[in-house]
Amino acid sequence: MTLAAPWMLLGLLAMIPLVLLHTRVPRIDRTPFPAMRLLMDVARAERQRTRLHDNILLLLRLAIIAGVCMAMSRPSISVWRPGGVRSGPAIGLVIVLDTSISMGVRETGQKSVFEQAKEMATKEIDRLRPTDMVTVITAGMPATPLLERLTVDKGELLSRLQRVSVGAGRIDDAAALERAVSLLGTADVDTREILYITDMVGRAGPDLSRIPQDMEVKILSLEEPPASVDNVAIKDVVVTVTGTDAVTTGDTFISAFIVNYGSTRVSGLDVVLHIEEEEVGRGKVTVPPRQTVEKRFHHRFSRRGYHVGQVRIGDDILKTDNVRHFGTEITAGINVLIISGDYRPGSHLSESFYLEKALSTSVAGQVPISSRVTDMETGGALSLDRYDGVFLLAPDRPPDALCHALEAYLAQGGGLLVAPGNKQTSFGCLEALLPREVLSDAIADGDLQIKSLERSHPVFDVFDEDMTGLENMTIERYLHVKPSTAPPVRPLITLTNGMPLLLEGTVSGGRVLLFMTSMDRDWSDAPIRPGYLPLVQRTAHYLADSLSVFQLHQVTAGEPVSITPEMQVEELVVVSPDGTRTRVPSQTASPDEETGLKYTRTQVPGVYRVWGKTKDASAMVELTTATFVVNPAVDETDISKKWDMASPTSLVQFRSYKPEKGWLPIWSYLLMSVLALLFVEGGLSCWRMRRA
Amino acid sequence: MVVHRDSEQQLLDAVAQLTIEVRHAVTGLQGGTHRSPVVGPSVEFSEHNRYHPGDDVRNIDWKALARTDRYYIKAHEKEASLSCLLLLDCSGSMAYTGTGADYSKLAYARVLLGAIAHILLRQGDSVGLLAFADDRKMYVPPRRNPGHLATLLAQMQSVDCKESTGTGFSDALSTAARVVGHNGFVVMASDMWTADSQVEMWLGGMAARAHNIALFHVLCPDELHLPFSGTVHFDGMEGEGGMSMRPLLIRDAYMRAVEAERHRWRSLAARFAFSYIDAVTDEVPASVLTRLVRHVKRQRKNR
Repeated sequence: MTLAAPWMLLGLLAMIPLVLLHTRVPRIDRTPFPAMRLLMDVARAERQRTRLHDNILLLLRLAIIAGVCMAMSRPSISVWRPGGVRSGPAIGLVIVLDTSISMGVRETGQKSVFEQAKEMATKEIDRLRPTDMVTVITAGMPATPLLERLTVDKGELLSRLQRVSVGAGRIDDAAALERAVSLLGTADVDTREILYITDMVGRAGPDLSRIPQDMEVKILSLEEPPASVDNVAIKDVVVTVTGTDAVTTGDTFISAFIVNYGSTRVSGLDVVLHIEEEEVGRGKVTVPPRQTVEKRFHHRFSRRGYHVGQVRIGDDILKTDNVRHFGTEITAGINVLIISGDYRPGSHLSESFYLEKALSTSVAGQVPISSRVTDMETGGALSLDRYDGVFLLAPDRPPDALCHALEAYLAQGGGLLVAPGNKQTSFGCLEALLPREVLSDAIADGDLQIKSLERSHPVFDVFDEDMTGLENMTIERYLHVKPSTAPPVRPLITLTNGMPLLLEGTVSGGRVLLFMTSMDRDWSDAPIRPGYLPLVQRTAHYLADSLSVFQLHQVTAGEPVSITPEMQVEELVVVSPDGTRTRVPSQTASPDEETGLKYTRTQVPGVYRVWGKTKDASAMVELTTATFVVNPAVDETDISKKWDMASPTSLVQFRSYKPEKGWLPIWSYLLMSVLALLFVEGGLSCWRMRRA
Repeated sequence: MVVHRDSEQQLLDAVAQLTIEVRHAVTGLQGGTHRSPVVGPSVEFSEHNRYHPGDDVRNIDWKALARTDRYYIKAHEKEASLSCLLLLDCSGSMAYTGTGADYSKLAYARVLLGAIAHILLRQGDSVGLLAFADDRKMYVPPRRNPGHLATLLAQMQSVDCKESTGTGFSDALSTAARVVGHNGFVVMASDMWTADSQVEMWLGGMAARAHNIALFHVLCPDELHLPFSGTVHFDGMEGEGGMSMRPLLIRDAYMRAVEAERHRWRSLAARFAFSYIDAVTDEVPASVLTRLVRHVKRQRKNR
């Protein structure tokens, strides 16, 4: 033991007067007393007890003086600690611990990277002195401090650290560092330090430019990282229907996209498909290095409704990304009727040729569309109620029966799209059903193109912001309609000359879209443009009022999800895959809200089921449309990909934790002991006084 | 004789109004106000006896003769005077005044015994005084003449406590038993600090022989509560020696011991049916006297 201020031990001299005070015979007055014999008997009987109390009090007081003097002399004892004991003024330390998915790498028979990182954090905390303050922030998404303030209570912090486990999400070091700076800013310490323990796997390193100058940042990486970086992950699972009528039979393709991040070929990798926790398919794949392969399963769902499942591959050094969950809804498809005024079955010259092909193309994640093409006479005789939407192409002088049938169809809430044909002369009785009066067909003065789309309309939800696939579409002829700004009519696509290309209006209670040019290549080159297929498919969904998604909402682990229930609920409960029930704050959730309710506890991969209770219902019901799936952040599982950053690399340290001798100051322990002794002494004295 | 001015009037009132009637019948030759075991001339009717020749015909109950046609003699209870001896403890401890009282225990005892003497002499009883410490200090034989009160008070005033002197209880009690005779009245005022089992035997024996006994246990408030702080060296007042101590640390135990001592005398008095009266010097003497008179009356009724 060494003393930094040994002269403080002179304070021990204060013990001498205390001892003298205790042992001296006090100068007292003599007092005669009549009941002396009784008094002497009592005094003799009590003498042993009072002497014991006196001696205990004397020892306590001597110990308090000795403790204070020893503490003021600032003693240190020699200890052996991994990495040695810190020196210098008291520090405030925030350990940022990477808990992202890549930290779960574990080689056979070895500790995982995360376990090694936790040991490093523990050793760093052990190196601190009693007056140093510390806390730990987990940097996996979302960044969370284990203690909301810096503390000298290392025991509590270590206890919490032991309970931390590696996550399945991305790293959020920006938020973690911001939190660390905030916590250090409020700590009353001389030196501030951030220690970032990470495997340095990810797309980019941390942005250290916002760390204040008075805070030191050290990045601590593993001294012995995993020898192998070969990792195979399931990147995505996609469910597609096998054909237009597949929706009724439930036939689907379930494709798992498996990526090999390693440098060696992976052969005979087991791939297993589970639906509703039952194995329904198994196969093997070979994945070349640095490539992605698709393993496709054919599965027939026996019933309609929501289904959940998972695809698994064989274990490797990172197990978390070897499972991917998915959910899908098997629904009845959309039936649309195409009525063509120039119907020529099988001919590419038919008005309906391109439209029919576009509608029948299956698109992953979308409710499939089945279509039937007929002429105007037959269409007027059909019962339109069986169809979710009607496309009326080239309706030159339509029969009255068709107009009456369409009017009745619209009155029941049906959807209708009208597009002119090459030989269009008059809309006849159909004029009353159009959203705007058609004046004439105009020949474009030069090649007209699309100027803008009404982005807020659901038809354009799937279109990319920058590239719609309709940019280069050229219009040669189009219908000229009577100008009007009446509210019921809304232009959805506008041409470069300011004229509308697609108009929407409400007629007889139904939705009517008027396409100003032909749906084939007679008046424009729309059918050969990439945006044609999504445009007609989304239009069909809009007419059928069926824009709901086909696959369940996918969320990356750790990221918040917005839950929008399909009905107004009073109470909402989310059941996570591990069975944990979380009550979402009991605010009334409206399906009209854009943001919905925010749920943040998405750390565990799997299917999250949502239950809700409406105002009138007595029990909770499952809200299947709000069910969502949480999957690992596979974009951070390429463990061969380290940070691509220049400057912080100089901060990276590989610290050795071999035991080293260091001097640990113990004056704070002594002061705490003195406080405890003072407490005991005060209690004993009070007890004696009260007894007296 | 020292009496606190506030209690002077109460004491005079009490002395003027109170009478003492002892529990046991007394056998004095002189007539008085107390019951006597012998039948004799008195106004107090006792019983009827058959007439025998030679009986005084003045005692024939003529009304009974008219009713029963038989001769009966009316017998009357003889009333005798009481012989009382006042025992005054003059040991060293009785000189203690303390911090909470105005006068010493001896002075307080003088007041009590003086008042008793006044009441008894007014009733026609004879009263004597024995002041004792280690040995007999003063003895005044019982007299009943009216001028005897002044003698008693003067003698009581003249005795004083001598430091480091003990208490000769046995000698005093044996003298009292001999002086007052059978069924006499013994009143003792003492702090009883040195009274041992011998004293208990004496008191028990006298009570068993139908002596009327009253014991004033005279104590100072300091003796009850030990109101001292710091370190104090106490000196015994009856030659017990001295000791230094911190009274705060033993106060509880001391008070429990004092209470046990008082309980011992209270139990003895209850067992042998004599009067035990707590007399703390901060109490008005009149109330102590009243308690004595009530206690004696209650004993007489319960007899």
